[in-house]
Amino acid sequence: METPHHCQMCLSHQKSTFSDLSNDAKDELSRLKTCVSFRKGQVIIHEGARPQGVYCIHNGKVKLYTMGTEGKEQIIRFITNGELIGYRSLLSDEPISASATALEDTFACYIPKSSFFKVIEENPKFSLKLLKMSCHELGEAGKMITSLAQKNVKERLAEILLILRATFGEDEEGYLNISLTREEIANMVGTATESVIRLISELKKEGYISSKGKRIAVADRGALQQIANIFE
Amino acid sequence: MFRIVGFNTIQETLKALLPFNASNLLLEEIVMQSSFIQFHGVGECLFKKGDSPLGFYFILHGKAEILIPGTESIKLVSGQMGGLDAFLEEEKLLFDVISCSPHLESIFIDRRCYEFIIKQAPFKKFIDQSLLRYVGAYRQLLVPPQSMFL
Repeated sequence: METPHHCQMCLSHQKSTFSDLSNDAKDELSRLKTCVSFRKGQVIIHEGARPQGVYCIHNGKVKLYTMGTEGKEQIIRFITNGELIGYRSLLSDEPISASATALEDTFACYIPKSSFFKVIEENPKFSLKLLKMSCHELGEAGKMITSLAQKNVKERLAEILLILRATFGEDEEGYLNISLTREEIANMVGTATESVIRLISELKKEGYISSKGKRIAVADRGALQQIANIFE
Repeated sequence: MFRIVGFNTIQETLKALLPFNASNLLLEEIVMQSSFIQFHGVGECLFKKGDSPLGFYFILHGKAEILIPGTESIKLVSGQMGGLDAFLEEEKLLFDVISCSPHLESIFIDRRCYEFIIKQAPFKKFIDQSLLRYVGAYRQLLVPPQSMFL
């Protein structure tokens, strides 16, 4: 797969953070960006580094995570097509707060800092969009903290499965459109891999999910919502 | 400027810079576990004083310098590492490290990647030699020039 030279030709353009920019701004971005490809499992950015630009994901799936003191990963969230990586650290002039790794072969456009700030200065609507995105992420982080602190492991697992379904959707066979190891799911939930394996079996027995190898399908969304104490 | 930077490009650059013959498999794993970072412009910060030592930069192309107040800076070129000493000491960065060439390309190596690298004997030797070079560079700044004793 080739990453398109011009933002207008990008398949993720409609849902991209840059979709509302003027044509001139998109021309400028297209001229100054660098296209990069990442293999499945390759690290995109590291916690602690000082980035000099942002990545806009053209195609792929990325996990954002931090490393605990024991070297254990804590997955914070996922990044999909059209989303940005690294913009908050750039805006706050701080080191990157979470690492990002490609969950599958991923193609991204790297936009240097100078171009990114120029776009912000010249496009107030884009600035507002970034502000809304930051505020939304802050709200989600708050929910995650509450979830980790107050929900039990089964409730958190149910919630995570629903989040994965909402983020990645389902494939033709009804399985979640993301392949995660049990360890990665455990890192998201914040528990041991063995607990996740046991709970997935339990949810499967209760008929709320089905699984085939690493693939998981949500069979009863309502039941999972009840377990997770999520009200829509 | 529109420029494609692929996996193989980084791997080949790394291979050319290392002072020993690293296997392709090993290089591939390093590129997988490290993150590629480009700096555009002179004066861009690789590290600021006080940053946590979560990793260090291996310079692939371009130059950087360690800014030490009141004395000369220590220059870093391709094949050298920025922030290695603080990383190994697990102490916050004592000095700013900035780019001093218009274009700098590097890979950022975190603790997980480092643990993998030092299991390979030639790499461990290379890291040790780099550290000694660092010590030498700092010592140069402290020891007065030979001419003062004449």
